[in-house]
Amino acid sequence: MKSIEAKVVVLGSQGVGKTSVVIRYVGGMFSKAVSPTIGASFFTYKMTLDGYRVKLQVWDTAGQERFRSMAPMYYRKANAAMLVYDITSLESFYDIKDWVKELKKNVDTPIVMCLLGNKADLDSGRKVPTEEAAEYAASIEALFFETSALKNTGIEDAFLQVSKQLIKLYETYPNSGLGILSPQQESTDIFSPQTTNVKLPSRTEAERPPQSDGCGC
Amino acid sequence: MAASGEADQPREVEFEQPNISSDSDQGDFNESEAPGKSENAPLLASDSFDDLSYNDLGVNDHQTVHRGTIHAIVRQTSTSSDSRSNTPNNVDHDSLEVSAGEESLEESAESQMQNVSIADKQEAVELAAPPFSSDDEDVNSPEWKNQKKHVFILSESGKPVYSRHGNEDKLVTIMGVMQALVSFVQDSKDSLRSVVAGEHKFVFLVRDHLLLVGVTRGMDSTQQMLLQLMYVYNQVISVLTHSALGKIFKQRRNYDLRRLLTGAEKFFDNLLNLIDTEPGLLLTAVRCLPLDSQVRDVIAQSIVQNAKVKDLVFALIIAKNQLVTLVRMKKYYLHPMDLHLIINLVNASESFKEAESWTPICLPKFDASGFLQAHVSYLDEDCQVCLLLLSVDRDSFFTLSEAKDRIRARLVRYNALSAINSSLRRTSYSTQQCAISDLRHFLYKARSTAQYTSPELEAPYTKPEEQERLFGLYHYLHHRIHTSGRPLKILFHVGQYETLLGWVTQGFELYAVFGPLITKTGAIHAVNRLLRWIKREEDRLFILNSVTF
Amino acid sequence: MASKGSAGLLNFFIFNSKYGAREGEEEKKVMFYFPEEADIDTKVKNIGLAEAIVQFTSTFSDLPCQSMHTQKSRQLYLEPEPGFWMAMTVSLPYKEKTKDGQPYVEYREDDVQDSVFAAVLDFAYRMFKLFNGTFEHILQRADGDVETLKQRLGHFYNKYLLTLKLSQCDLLDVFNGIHFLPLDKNTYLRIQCFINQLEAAFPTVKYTAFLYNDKLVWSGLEQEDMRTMYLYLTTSLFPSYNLQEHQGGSQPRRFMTGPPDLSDDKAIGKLPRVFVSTDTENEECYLLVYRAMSATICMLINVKCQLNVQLCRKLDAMLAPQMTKLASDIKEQHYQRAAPPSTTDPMFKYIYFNHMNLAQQTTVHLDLQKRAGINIPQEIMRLLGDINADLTRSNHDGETIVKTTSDFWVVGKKSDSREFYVVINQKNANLIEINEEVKRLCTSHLNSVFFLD
Repeated sequence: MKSIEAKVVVLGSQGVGKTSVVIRYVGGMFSKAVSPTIGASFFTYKMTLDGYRVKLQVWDTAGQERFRSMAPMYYRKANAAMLVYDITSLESFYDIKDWVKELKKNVDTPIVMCLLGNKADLDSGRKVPTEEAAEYAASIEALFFETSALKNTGIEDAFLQVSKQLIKLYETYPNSGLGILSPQQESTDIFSPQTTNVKLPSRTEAERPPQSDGCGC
Repeated sequence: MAASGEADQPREVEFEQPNISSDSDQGDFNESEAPGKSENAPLLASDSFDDLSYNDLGVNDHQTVHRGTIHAIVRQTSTSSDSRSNTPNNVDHDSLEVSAGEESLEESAESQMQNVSIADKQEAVELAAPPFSSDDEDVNSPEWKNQKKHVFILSESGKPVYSRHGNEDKLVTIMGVMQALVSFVQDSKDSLRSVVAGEHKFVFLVRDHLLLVGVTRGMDSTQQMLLQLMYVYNQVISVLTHSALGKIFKQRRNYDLRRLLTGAEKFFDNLLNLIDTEPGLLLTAVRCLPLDSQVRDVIAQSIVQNAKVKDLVFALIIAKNQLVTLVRMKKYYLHPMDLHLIINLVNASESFKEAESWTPICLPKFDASGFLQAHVSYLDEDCQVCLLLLSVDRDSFFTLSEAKDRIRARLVRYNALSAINSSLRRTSYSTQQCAISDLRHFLYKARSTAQYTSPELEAPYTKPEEQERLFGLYHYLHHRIHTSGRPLKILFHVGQYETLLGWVTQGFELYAVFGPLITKTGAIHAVNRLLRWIKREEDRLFILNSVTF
Repeated sequence: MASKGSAGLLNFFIFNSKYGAREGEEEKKVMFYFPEEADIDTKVKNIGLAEAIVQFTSTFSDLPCQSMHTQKSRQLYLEPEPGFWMAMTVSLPYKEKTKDGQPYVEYREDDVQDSVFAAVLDFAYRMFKLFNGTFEHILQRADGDVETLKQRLGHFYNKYLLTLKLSQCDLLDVFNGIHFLPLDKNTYLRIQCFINQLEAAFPTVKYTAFLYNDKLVWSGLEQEDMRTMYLYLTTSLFPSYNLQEHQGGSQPRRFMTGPPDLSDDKAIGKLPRVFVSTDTENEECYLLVYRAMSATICMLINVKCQLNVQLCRKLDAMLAPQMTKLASDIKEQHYQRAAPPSTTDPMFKYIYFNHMNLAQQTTVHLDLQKRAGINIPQEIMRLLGDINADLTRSNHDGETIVKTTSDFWVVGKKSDSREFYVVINQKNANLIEINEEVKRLCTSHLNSVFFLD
């Protein structure tokens, strides 16, 4: 079985729920009192998909303005970007456009983009029409989902589709920077799909050879 | 210049009494050597409190800002390392940019300008007349007024940056007044330092680009408040760097710094709470988690062996605001003030408990001009034992992450992690362990290592207000002993509720609190026994050996 | 060339915000400003700052603003009467130093103590009140005419401020106590008897005080009035009288105030009026001071009574023989007593103050009026001030024993409204020994004081 390792960066304004989305996906839970991210948090997620072992290295970045200038450190060499806005905040949606501009300017490798309209459960306070967002997503060739970390809707699907795109990307551009685990490595790799041990990453991960081809982040 | 001052203090000269041998406890303090003393301290022995004066501040500001250490390390390691490091380390000293579009920035600044009409110096004179009467201002609420300690940060132009109590937006007028007062005095080539009214002290500190104001009705002296404001200023630097701060205000004098400090308020809040409850900040010393020295050695060695990573400057483990171990790059020391900021970062950030983090932190005493990059992770499930790996290499996350896994594995293998956890469960130690009757509490600081130890707070200091009062007594003792121009060696004070003893030598500072009825002989007897006890326990209470990579 | 400076008076002003509330009329707030020659802009600016500071602190504190510290100066505030604020600015002592080859000026902030200068400001007001009555009283008598008040203030303070020696101020200014003369019971009763006779024979003499040299023996005035008057007598009237006498009048002048020549009916001489509050507020009296040998009697006569040279002659006839006799008896008795403690034990210096009767003693100062300086280092003197401030703040009885880095021991005790400070220069003593020494000192040296209280 082939393995790919992809770096996914989660971007968006503060308070749109980036951490909640990631924790919902990776940890399978929701906490009302998620505290603001300092710098960036790192999560890994593993799954098997279409005959691939996919390992996502997720950088959950801080949305606060003071960390804005740190962002290149995290999106540099990213294979996918999750662009999160809050459907009740027009401003957070407009901020996405800045992010996209910035990514296009600074990232020269192919990148999968996925637009996430979070807090979809707060439909009564909606400020960003679904159609407008979908239209925008289409214009930048990004995937688009409306999600709710609270209700756990759309998130699973979003990451799944992103992973599929990543596989496609890998198949199209084998040298696109998506890491491949060496065969020897595979045999010792006893990971199970849906590993949720994020707090203390498993030892297998630690044994990953540091020069695992390109994805040095 | 690198902050590489050797931690060596001049050798212990001699103590109070020439006749050390007389063990009769008949009034002499007799201790031959300061417990916890080390020639090889992990921390930079702190600046003496006595040195902290306005004379060292303001005037030669550039001299007190440490710069260039990070560059020095980067240069040094890149020249010494092999050719493999083809990508230069991109330590961006001015990495923080005012990133929002210029127009929007101007706009918001303009609109705020209209709120702060007092920013102009000319208007300062007229300022006295109108009372602050606007109804929606927080100053009118008795609850706000009755706060024990206020701390305000404002920009040079008087724009609110932070207020410990109340909403800055509702404190625009009063903060404008503070700025006006300061700039008014500046106009006559002088600088405003403090004001006293009844029980209240108002302390003003002007540093590069910011004005800090502390208002207290506690026992904190002006000098102590000044130190606290220094911590707060350093916290700003820690979040933004000194260079970025300068750049921002050079671009726009009226910039609303709150934009860049969003989310950092909790660091200020938490820091101020630490200041009010942790004696270490008053003493500029750090408390170590009591551990057997063999265990501590194992921990340090685990780090040394598994984190030999290029550009890693400091590796440390912190548990419940106490230092477990510190490994440092040769020639570089951590200043206790910087360590307190690190402790504050950990203490105030819940998000580190979710996942491994990679976060920039500036250590002002180490290098105020740039960020170190910190790999932060908890080693145990309960999120009590925090490992921090501080590097100048922004790209070393995965290397450090692997190092962390190896360190953790080794700590588990040697039961060091459980040793840390059981020490944490024991909650320090009781004064009874020292077996000295009538001794209620004490603070002991080993000056050469910038570390201190103190027992648990026990009866009668179990209620918060009693603890606050005890802390006030320590402030009094500390202040009176360190008053500039007339410092003391010994202070013995019989008060209404307790008897206090402060004793400062070249090697240590001791502040002890006894019941009110203890005799002078009894107190001296007790202090001598206490010093012997600390000496016996010093391996456990202090980190005496500095470990380097 | 390193220069240095000591504490000095930068300015002194009194303002009332009520009188210039409208914009552009700020100068009307100025009741008094020293130095007089300062331009109006400076005056208005400095008063504006003081107003702003006072206003600012009131946002946080219900208690009035006391002081402002700047790098170079200290400003003290006092609101002695509602709306009237007094401010005094003291320059900080400084030294020119060099650091890394760069010259800089070090201002010694801790060398200027708030408690000391707050007391100086307080007494500046009390002294004014003694000779002029309260600000309100002056305004009342002048039907609210502020100019009268301004004149009074100017007349008094322009002279008074020149007499301040700020660099010599210390803990004694905080206490501003009275030195009492210890006497045996018999002599004391004779003096009291003499005063009773005097007041019976001359009913116009309403209050009396009897002093021997600079020490008080008996006073019929309310304590606070006596305290201020004592300060005036010992720091102003007596010294200038002594100076005149030294310069050689053949015949010593008996009335220090009042007629210089009893044979001249026309010349009543300089006769100060004082305002006391012993019976009623702002009672205005003539202060007639009479000296025979080293004994002085102060007689306060209500201004409504007739006071002329004739009366003075009558007084003189009674006072001269009796006062002379009493003075020589006191002198004799005093010689028999042991020499003052200050000379017996050079290791100990002490200051004693009793809040109940304002009794004060010092062996730290070379003379009672501090003219000759002190015999302990300045920083130790300031340390006494620190300890006093600490004990005052805690407002309870307490004891503090300290050893300085210069190896002086200093003990401060407060109990039962009494404060006692001892400086012991014994490097090798330990805490217990010091404690014993102080106990001994209390019983031996201060016994008489405690009895006399």
